[in-house]
Order: sequence, then structure tokens, then C-alpha cells
Amino acid sequence: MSELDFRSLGERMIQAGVAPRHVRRMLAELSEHGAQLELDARQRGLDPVAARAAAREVLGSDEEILTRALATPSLRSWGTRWPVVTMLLAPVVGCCLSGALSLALAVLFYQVGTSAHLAAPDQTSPGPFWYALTTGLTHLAVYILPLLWALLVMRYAVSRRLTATGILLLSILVLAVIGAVTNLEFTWPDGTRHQASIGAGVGFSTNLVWVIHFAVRCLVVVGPAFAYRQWLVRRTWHTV
Amino acid sequence: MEHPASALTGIVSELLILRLLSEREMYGYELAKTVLALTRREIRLREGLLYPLLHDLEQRGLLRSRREVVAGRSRIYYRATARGNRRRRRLTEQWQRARQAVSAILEGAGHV
Repeated sequence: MSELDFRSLGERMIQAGVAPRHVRRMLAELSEHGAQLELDARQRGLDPVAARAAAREVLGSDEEILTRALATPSLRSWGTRWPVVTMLLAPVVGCCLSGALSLALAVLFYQVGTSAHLAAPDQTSPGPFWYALTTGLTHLAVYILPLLWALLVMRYAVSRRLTATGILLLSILVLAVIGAVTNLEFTWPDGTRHQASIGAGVGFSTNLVWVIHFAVRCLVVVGPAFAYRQWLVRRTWHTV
Repeated sequence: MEHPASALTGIVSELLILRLLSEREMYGYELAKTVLALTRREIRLREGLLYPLLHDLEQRGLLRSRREVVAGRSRIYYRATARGNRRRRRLTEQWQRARQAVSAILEGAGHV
């Protein structure tokens, strides 16, 4: 098995903007190639240290391989090529679309729950299961999805060692604000109302209670996102 | 701007790789050894530099790859695609025209 260590080369490639999938595969290929070159050298009678050095010489230095990889634009990660799109626009659009999707699912489950209720007229209502499902989906859209998208952005940025701090910060703040100003409400029929209703909107207020509520909801996204980033950095900075 | 010599080396490397991988699939080490053997060791590449080129050619749709585990190690085999073969034919024609042009100058230089 090869003793050649390409971890430092891998880290440099990622920091320089080469896509991690190319880096991982290239390191595996270099390692396999190096092992075979070492074996060739041993068969020529070289001792293990000299065989390793000979293999490394044939493969080329880290600098040469890095230079060649950086001269190949198709190997650059999307995050390096389009940081605003990957770290800001895509997560914001994704957050809005996934919120809309969960609301659509809530409507769908309401219809299913109502149909089940109509099919069993002895029941007095569609039941707590369907109520919990639709309410859960609306809460997911408002409280959970912005946080999930913020965590995803952090994971993406750390895995590619992206250093566009301004874009990253803006992205997390926008996601937090989207979650904090959006109101979704799914109301089931009760004794006074015969039809369900969906309320969706964006609200701002200068009322102190609203401002505190807004700040708390922002912090619920920003705090965990940056804590997750710190954890990821400590865990993965030196691995590929 | 890329130095003309390195651009030429890049085109030659691409042509050699596409030519060899149009015949059969190979993995990096095998490809490097085949180039050495067929060129009687006249063309000796830094073998580690093959991989960025192979990945680039694959990204451009000129090669396809498959992974196989051999003796517990993952090995990636490459083969030229139909698009890669079309590119190889174009590069071969360009290379032959360039070679003829250079030969004409080298052989005729003494008669000017």
C-alpha cells in the first residue's frame, strides 16, 4: 500500500477552489497510481524510502499538480465560480419554494383528512392526526425550513472552504428575516366555521413585542447556523 | 495568456489520451505506462498531471469513467465517448497539417 500522502495537496486544492468531488477522486487516483509506482521501484531493487521518493518524482510535485488543476476551469467548484448564486440566490429561492411546497402538502393532507372524515360519518372531525400533520407542515415552513437552509449554506461553504464572508453573512441574515417576517396559518373548520382557511403573509411592525419576537426568530436561525459552522470548521478543516 | 509551448503540450496530451482511450478503456497508471511504451520513452509525462486532464476531458463529455475495485483498491477506468472520438479526429487532422507545415519549413529551409 502506498505511503504517499496527498492530504495536504487535497486541502490546498479545495482552498484554491477545485470542486471537492474532483479532489476526492484525484487523491484516490494519485494514491493508487503512487502505490503501483512504488511497487515498480521496489521490483527494480530500490529500498522503501527510495521507492517512495522515485514514485513521487514520477507523479510530480504538489505544486505541479495543483497548478495543472487550477489551470483547468472545468474543475472549479460552483461556489468558487458563482458564489452569489450558490450561497445567496439558490438558498433563498430554495427556502421560498420549499415553504410553498410544505404549504401545498398541508392543503393536500387537509383534503385527504376531510375525505377520510366524510367516508366515516360516525367520526365528529377528521381527527388529531390530520390536524397535527397540517399544522406541523405550516410550522415547518416558517420555523424549520429557514434554519435548515441556513445550515445547508454553512455546510456548503465550509466543505468548499469558501471565504466570501460578506455573501455568507448576507445569505444567513436573509434566510433568518424570511423566517421571521413570514406568517402562515392553517385553520381547520370548527363549530363556527365550515371551511378551512389558509392565511399567508409578510408582516412588519414597530411594536416592541413584534420587534422582540422578530429578533428572537432571527437569532433562532443565525445562532445555530454559526454554531454549526464552528463545529464543522473544527471537525473538517483538515480533512477532505 | 497560456504559453504557446504549453498549449501545444496540452493539445498533444489530449490527442494521445483520446487516441489510446478510443481503443480500449484504461486507468491512469496503465495509460501513463502505455504512452511511455508506445513513444519508446520519448514522451515522459509527470504522471500525476494526467488526472486533472482526464477529469477535464470527462467534464467536457469526451471521456466517460467507471469505478472498479481491484484487490481492495478503487480504480477508475476511462474510455473515449463518441464525442471524444469526433474531437480526436479533428485534432488528428490539425496535428497532421501542423506537422506537414513544420516539416516543409525544416526540410526546405536550406533551399531558400
